Amino acid sequence: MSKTIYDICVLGGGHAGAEAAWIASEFNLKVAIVTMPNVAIASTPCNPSIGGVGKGQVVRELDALGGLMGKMADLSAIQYRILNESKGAAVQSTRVQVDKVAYQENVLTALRGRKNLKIIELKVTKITKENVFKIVCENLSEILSKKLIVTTGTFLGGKLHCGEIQAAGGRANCENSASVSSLFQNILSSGIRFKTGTPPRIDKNSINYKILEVQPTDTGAVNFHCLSSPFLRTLPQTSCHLTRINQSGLDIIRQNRNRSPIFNGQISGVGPRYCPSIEDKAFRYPDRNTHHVFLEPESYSLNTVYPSGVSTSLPSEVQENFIRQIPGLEEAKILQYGYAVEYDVINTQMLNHSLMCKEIEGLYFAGQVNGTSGYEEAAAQGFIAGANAALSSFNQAPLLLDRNQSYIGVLIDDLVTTRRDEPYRLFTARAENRLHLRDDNAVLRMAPYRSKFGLNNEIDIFSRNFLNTQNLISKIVHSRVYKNSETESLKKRYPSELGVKNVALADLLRRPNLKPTAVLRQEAENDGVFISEQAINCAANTEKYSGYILRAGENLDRMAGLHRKKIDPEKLATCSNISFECRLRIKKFTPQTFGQLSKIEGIRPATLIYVANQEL
Amino acid sequence: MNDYRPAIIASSSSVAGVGAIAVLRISGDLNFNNFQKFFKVNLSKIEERYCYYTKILDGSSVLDEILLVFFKGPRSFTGEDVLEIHAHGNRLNIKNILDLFIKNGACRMAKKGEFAHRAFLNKKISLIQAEGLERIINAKTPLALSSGMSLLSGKLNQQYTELFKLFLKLKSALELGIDFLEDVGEEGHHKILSEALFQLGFAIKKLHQQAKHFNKELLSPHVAVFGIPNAGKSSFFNCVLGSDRSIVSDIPGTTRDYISEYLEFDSTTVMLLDTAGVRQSSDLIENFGIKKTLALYEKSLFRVLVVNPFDKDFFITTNPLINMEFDLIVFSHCEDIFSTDPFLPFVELLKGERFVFCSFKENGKMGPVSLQTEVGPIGPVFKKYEGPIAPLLKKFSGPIGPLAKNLAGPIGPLSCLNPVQVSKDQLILSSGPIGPGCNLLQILEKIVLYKIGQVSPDGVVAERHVSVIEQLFFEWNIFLDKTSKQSDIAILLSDLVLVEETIAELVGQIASEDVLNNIFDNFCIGK
Repeated sequence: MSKTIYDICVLGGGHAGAEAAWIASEFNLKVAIVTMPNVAIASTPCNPSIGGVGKGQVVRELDALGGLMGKMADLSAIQYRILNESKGAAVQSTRVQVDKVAYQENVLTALRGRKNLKIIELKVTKITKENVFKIVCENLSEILSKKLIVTTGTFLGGKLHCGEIQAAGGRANCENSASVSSLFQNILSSGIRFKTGTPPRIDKNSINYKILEVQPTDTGAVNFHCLSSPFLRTLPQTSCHLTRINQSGLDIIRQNRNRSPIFNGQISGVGPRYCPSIEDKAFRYPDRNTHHVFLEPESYSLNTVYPSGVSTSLPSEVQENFIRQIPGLEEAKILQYGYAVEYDVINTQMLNHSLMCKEIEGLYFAGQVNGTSGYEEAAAQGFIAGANAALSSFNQAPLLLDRNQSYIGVLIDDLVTTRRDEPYRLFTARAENRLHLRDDNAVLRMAPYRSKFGLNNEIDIFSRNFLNTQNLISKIVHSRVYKNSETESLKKRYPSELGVKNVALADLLRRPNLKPTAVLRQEAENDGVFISEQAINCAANTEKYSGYILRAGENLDRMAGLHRKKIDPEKLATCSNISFECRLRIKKFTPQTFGQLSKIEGIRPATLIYVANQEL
Repeated sequence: MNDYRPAIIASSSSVAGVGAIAVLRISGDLNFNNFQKFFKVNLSKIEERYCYYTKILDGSSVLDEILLVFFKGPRSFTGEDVLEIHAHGNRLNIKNILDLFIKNGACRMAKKGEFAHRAFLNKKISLIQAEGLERIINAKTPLALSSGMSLLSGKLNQQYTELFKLFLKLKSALELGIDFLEDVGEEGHHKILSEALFQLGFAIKKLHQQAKHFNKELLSPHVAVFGIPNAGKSSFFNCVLGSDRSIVSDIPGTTRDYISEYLEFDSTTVMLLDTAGVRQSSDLIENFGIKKTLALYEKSLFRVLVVNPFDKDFFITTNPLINMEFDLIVFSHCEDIFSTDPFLPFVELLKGERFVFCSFKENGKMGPVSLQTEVGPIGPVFKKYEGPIAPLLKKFSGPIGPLAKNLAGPIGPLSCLNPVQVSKDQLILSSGPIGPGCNLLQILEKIVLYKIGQVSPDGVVAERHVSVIEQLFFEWNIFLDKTSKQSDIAILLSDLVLVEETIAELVGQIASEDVLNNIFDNFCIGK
């Protein structure tokens, strides 16, 4: 009997793995997810929320590309929040709290619905490559696959810390998997260790909610999934609560500095500065004696509450002590203690923009193992790796997202072109073309990429319709000029505006005091044109930001051409026209493009001028 | 902002002041009718790539005798028409010729790197890429860090550093409102943003006012005097200034902080700094002063070392001054040079461009006074190779061998590097070492101006600073106006780019990574 050879095998069933397997299976390939026994698929082991500033845009981009996360988040959401509502449409985002149990079940159901996708629960011990990848499992069985996507999260060489107690593991109550070097014997080695952490979980029945500030759900938030009705909620909505850790709690932490693994040297991995543990906050901001703590319910079917803001790896009794100093948590019962996890990550500079190893054909990496943080970042990478593994199975051109067209593009480009010394998270500040990378136009931005898959699913039909509608509205926006005779009624409609005589609709949309969406909706309806809110939103904001985007685009173009210019570091490193010091740096950093070269510290202008001028 | 219209540009392509011949270039779409009046030769009759001997004319007077070569575009360095003028390499002469063209409106002064820029433009890379390249180059060498930096006074230097910090603060404050609003809260953000706006606005306004009114003062290079305690730094300082500005005493370590005075040299203002003596000390205040002194060394354009060649304390290996380079080394206490053996083997280690021997003893003045007597400490000595200070020279070959080891030929006490390259008017002293009538102030003036000429020909640097600051002030006011009308924070950040581009010319590009780092360092981010 000949053994099954999978087209694509995904190692790990987190958000990256689920997303990779999902999109790969759309291409009618034989796909397998190999996941550790007793580790849930698509779990949310840290805070039970999806979306956020920048991240929310990623979820919508994924959704428009045909990804899983947006739809799953909607199905499992128990609270919606609109972020940056007052800051302008470009940076407005959505975040939802999900029921973590429902989320896992929904993803599992979706994946099981694919007949060509198999979920294998086995621990992998070794990976080799001959003609195909051979994945050796703990029970000595072997899985063969043409392509392999590694999405192992924090599991590679994972080590948990809770005070003095250290244990091998990928997360609480889970085994870890082998380290990079033992898993990929003769293929890869790592050496980079990152660290992340999570707070203790509290029994909701032990919390005194009466004295806490309530954060209700935003009913006006639009669903992530573009095909669903914008305000449809599947699960009943609930609230989060806000409290603070004060002086007394922080004092307890400060008294236990030497018992903290991140301060006593027990942990060597580097944690993210944007997601500090409560120990970090206590010691790095000695003058601040209060920090927010958000209490987020994890699930309707669990009693656990996630206290956001107090991630810690202090010993359990210290955790208990400081938690009980927090107003509302005086009687708190801890159901699971907080801990830190250290894990192997790979150097992503060995990957290309399709997330495949440059050296090893068919081997992809995605998610936290690439040194990122966040479910959304992981999912996005999983999708890119999955889609590219599938596309390359058909010898099709890879899916490469431009960083000026998507946050996912920014993420991937940053990952494969730069070296980082802490876990990577997306911020809108990282995107040069931020005004264009909005929630409202995600479908518009992703449609050209999606259409190249050559699939004809519901989402493809939706994208085409959306594009058509946009073209139509844009005709309205640009053709209409108000006549003198309409001035009076215009003045009534826009009392705040001066000079509405003979004004173009496009001009009204760009005025800072008016809400572009409301203006466009009203003017269209006045003419008897009724279009979906999503389409109005997209068209109105596209017009509002068009001038700024154009200006920024000119700026980007100026740099882009030169920055993209390919260079040959080996040749430059031996070039006698370049100073010795610059050659040393070129040798060390091996820049592949002019842009990378220019970012290296200590590279002299003369070198840049010389290189810019070279035909390489 | 950047003017890329093909204006006709001119500049000296040689480093001013060193060579006997300097090459000036004029590049652009040249209309010879506009240039004919400056040249004796008939320009319409010259052939490309031929060399013509002719004269530069300012009206009826002859400015210089030159060689002229014409390169017709695109067969030239820039790809445009280029006139190359080989003139006499005296700084004043070059300036006069360039001024002649520019003041008559025939062309404008080229910006730094503009010739190379045009070469790119016309041959190698596209316009858009050339602009990108200039951005990158500007970011690598913003005005605040460029070679002209040593020309800036400490005050302006400080203001640039401040400007960078405050801009980073403003950008961080705006970004904070997008990515981290939940962490700082709406109210907290408003406070941070208003403060940042106010502070940067204030700094830009101040800079602008000063650039307008105190241009000269802002661009006054530092001339700093260094030495170990009691070497005679303050005496030197006072001698140059002609007043008792520094407290002079026999107790080492009298000058603990530095003392400064402005000096007018020709049309240039320099700041003369008397520094605290460098030595190991247990006195806290003094140690602090020493740290400051070493920082001043980095910042100064012109560095003077005052050393008593008989002071054993100076010649110890832990003295940092021994390994540092100086533009002028003043040997004080030379009145005793006949009787005592100076520490010559160590003197040999000193690194200086020029040297002067003098004594502060007689009437509290240096060189000039003592030199008026026939048997002054130095003067006559150097006319023959033996005499009062013979012991100093005996062990070495050449007249003042140890001090001028790298130099060829016998040079006076005020020696010049490479006398071969130095034309007559650049030699510090053409007749006699420190002849009568030549006082220390004049010596200093000559050599300081010479150095400034090397660093910044024709004051181009000063003009660039002022014009960028003007531009910044302009952009800032436009931006400020927008902050009151625009509530969309992402649009505001997009508008801020225009301010940022101008600031980048002064202090360098600010990467998004810098902003994020600044945020993480200063705010508690993360739920």
